[in-house]
Formats: sequence, C-alpha cells, structure tokens
Amino acid sequence: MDPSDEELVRRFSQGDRASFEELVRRHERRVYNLALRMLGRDEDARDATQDAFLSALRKASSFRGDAAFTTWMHRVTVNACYDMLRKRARGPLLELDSELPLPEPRAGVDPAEVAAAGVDVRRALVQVPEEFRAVLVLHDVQDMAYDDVAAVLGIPVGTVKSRLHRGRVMLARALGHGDTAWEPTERAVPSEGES
Amino acid sequence: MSHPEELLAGYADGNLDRHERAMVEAHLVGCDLCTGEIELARRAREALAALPEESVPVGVTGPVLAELYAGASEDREPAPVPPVVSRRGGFPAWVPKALAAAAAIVGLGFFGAYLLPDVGGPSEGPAAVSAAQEAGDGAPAGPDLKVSAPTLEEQNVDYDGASLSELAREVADDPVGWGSRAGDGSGASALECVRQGSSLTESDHAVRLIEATYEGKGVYIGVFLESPTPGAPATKVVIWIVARDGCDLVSYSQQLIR
Repeated sequence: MDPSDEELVRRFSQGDRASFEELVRRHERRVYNLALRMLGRDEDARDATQDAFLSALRKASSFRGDAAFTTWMHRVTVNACYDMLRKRARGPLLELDSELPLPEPRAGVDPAEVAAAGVDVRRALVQVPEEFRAVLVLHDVQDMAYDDVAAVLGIPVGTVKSRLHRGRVMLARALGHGDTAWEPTERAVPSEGES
Repeated sequence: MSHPEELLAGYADGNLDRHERAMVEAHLVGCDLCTGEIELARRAREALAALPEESVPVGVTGPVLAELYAGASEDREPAPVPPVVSRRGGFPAWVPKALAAAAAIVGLGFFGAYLLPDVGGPSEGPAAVSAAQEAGDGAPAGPDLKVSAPTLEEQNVDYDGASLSELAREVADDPVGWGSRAGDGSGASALECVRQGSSLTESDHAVRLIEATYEGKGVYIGVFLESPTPGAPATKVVIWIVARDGCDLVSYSQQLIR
C-alpha cells in the first residue's frame, strides 16, 4: 500500500527527499488546476504552482499533521494565488484567448462548442471576486466538501455556503444568464464574519 | 423578506436534509428572487463541473525538484548565503549556475517532461506497459536489466541543456535496449562519485556513465532508469551530473518514458 501523504511528510522531515518528490507528483495536478482556475492565466498558474510547492518545501517542517496534507497544500496554494493576484493588481489585464488550451473533445459534442463554452466560463470565473472565486473553485471545480473548503480558507462553514451560492449567481450572470450581468440584488453580499 | 442564504447552495447541490429542503421549497413558492437565483446557481454549477481538468505543463515543478535535490549537496557544505528566490529563475542564489541553467531549459520541455499527466500508478503506467511489451517474449523488463556498472564513456563533449535533453530522450526512446546493455564495469568509480552527489535509490539503474564537461566544468553524467519499485519496469530517465572534482551535484534532470 502506498504511504499516506502524512507519512511522506514525516519521512521527508527525517531527510528522505524522494518523499517530497512523491508529494509533488501526487498533488501537482490539483495544485496547478486550482491555481489555473483562480488566476485564469496559464503563466500565472505555473508561477503560483511553483511558488506553492517551494513554499511547501520550505514550510514542510511546520506541517503538524493536525490537518490533512491535502487541506494544508490547498491552503498554501490559495495563498500563493492571492499573492499572485496582489502582484498582478497593477499588471496588464487578462489575455485569455491566446493562452487557454482547448479542452479535450468528448464524444457526441462539437469540440468547438465545448471549447468556446470553456473559455467563456474561465473568462467569467476570473470576474468573480476572489474570495467568492476561491470557494467556487474549491467546491465546484475541485469537489471539496464544505467543511474542507472552510478549513482551507479559514472561514466558517456557513460563510462557505453563502459565498458559494452568491459566487454561483455572480458567475452565472457573468456568463450572461439572468436579467443583467452585474446588477446588484436587494441582498447585501455576505461579509467575512457572517456564518 | 429574509432569505435562507446558507441553505441555497445546499439546495442547488441537492444535499439538504428533508426538513431543510422543505423550508427552502416553502420559501421559493413566494420568492421569485431566490427561485431565479437557484436557477442561476444550477447553471453556474454545471458550467464549473464541465470545466476540463488541465494537464500540468511540462517543467512547472522542475525548479522545486532542483531546490529539493540541490539541498542534498548543501547538506555536506552549508551554504553561506541564505536562500533567496528570484522569480523567473526560481532559484536560491546559492544554487550553482549550471544547475540554474539546466532548469532554465524547463521551457524546452526537458526538465519537467515527467510532469506529463496520468503517468499512472507505480507499475501500471503507459510507460511501464510499453516497456514490458517491448521486452518481448513475456520477459519482465525490470529484473532482467541488472548489469554491472556501465562502461565509462569518455566524451570530448561540452554538454548544455539542449544536449542533455537529447541524451535523455535517446535513452527514454529505448529504455529496454539501453537497460540491457552490458557494461564492462569501467564506470564503477564514476558511478560511486555520482552516488555521492545524488540521492540515488536501489530502484535507479545506471545505464550510461559519461565523462565530459557540462558548461565547461569537468563532470560525470550518470543516466539512470528509475522504476517505481526495484525490479519494476522503468518509468523515468533520471540524469545526475556531478563534478569530477568533489562529486558535488551540478545538475539534475529527468524525462518521462512514454
């Protein structure tokens, strides 16, 4: 049986470098996709992925095993994404089209349609404010449970649920569904402390 | 009107209990706003679920592994300079120039070639399958590859990123052929030097040992087939480059066997 992530961290902390390489191998795909959906741009996702793993490499000794490694790694990745967003705040606007790889074609579906829809979703997703986007990506793209999303982001579960709903509504509107794209509803956007 | 904000996500996800669901449904009867939002939320949910999982581009974690293994040689000779990472280079200042240069070829798809998606489980990846098939006659590709230390190849070649990439590809294209080549043992001392500077394991099988230069520095280049477990078919070509003088790690690279 393969050793658990936590066991690999333990071995790494005892000097076994190959264990960390195995952790990278296990998690790179999820980390990269999380970063890609958070940041929208492939180049930024690469940098954030690299930053996240470098950060994990240097902080591995601070991983206490009181949370699942996956949760910890997601938190490190989300933080790397937030850092990237802050750095990028004054940078150029997103240049999505030329860089987005086309999704793999599926049987019975026009690949061009799927690709166009995918690009739309990615473009719309980066318009959703980042604290809502993080919840959307972790829950709806990465299939994490509410509790795990809450643990990754360090917010109450209730806040996860309300941000999830609100984020979905924002995304759908950004996709052109609903009456108007960004008309605020009568409801205030939930704040950080709300649960 | 107050809205059951925290229950709407669960309603769209279909994971409310009966009592909660009844509450939301009772609310929806009289609330067009929430009814409309549930419809929007469902569309968003479907759109996100349909997003494909993208492959990790080659080379992304190459600098991470370089730092991971660069630390191996630092253990013996502590770095006087604290690690400072530069963004594009992605390397601490103390990482040897040659190593940084090797990783700079990441963009060419060498360093991180093993990062290609779905390399599969330890012994059932596509590479393992193809290696086993190529072995023919039902011969297991892994165990039969055991030979003594490879012949030391003395080459008057100054390697750089591109030529290393070529070297790795050559072996990755024919892992069984290279792995079954019998050596005359003359590479034994070079192999020992590579072992000192690297973190080889018993699953790494030496197939080539080259004495050459790397960006002007006298080095031993060890080319290894790496298996997930000892005896299993190789899934990666790993190259360790150590200085002939002192056996310190100069560079490290790998290539997935496809």
